[in-house]
Amino acid sequence: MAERFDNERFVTLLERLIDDTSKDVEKIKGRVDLLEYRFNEFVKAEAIKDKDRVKENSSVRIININNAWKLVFMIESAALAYLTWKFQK
Amino acid sequence: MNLLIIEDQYTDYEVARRALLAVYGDVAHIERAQSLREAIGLLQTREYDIIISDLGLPDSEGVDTAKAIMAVAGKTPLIVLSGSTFNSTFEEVLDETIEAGAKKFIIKASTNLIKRLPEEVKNLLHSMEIRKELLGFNHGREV
Repeated sequence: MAERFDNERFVTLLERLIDDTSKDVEKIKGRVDLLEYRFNEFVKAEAIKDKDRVKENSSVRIININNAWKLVFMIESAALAYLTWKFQK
Repeated sequence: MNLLIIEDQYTDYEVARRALLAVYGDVAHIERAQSLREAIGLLQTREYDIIISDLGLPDSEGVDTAKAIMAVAGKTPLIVLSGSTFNSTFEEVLDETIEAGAKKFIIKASTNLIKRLPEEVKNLLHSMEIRKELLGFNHGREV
């Protein structure tokens, strides 16, 4: 006999998963933002003229903030695929 | 799109408002509250798509500001702006704000606001669409 699909549980799990993932990504993005902010403050304080050259040699550009956001979409899609598979078993 | 900006500093409000109008001019309707009390009054009587708030207001500061807004905002997403660390570190303020339920955290430097705020509003709108789609998926389905 078919088991009734528990939509409410599915939504709760999915919401929790998305919220937790989004929080983690926002914390990472925030730290990248802070790194850039502090770098710019350092450049101002030290009156560094060739900012781009310093930046190229630093770790500031390791993570692109927009790419971090794409990661959330990928994880959301993966979460949906996983939960759909799990509930369809 | 109805936006509420909670910001007591006029210059910061203007930078945020102009940055948003430059991108969403035709569709954005922006209102301003200058204190937590005023913001709560507006949130209790009107509906907004996104709330943007400074953490340092005349009647509230730090993560408590975000918590108080979230308490009356329901599911309306909150973008937090912060230029102070409130006797803490930026990392602590960031983590606590996100854990309290804010969706985005932006450091309040003018160049950052101009670039990041419209970007984050766009990301948030996109995310809300996806979430709506995902959570509406398979409604009432039996397996």
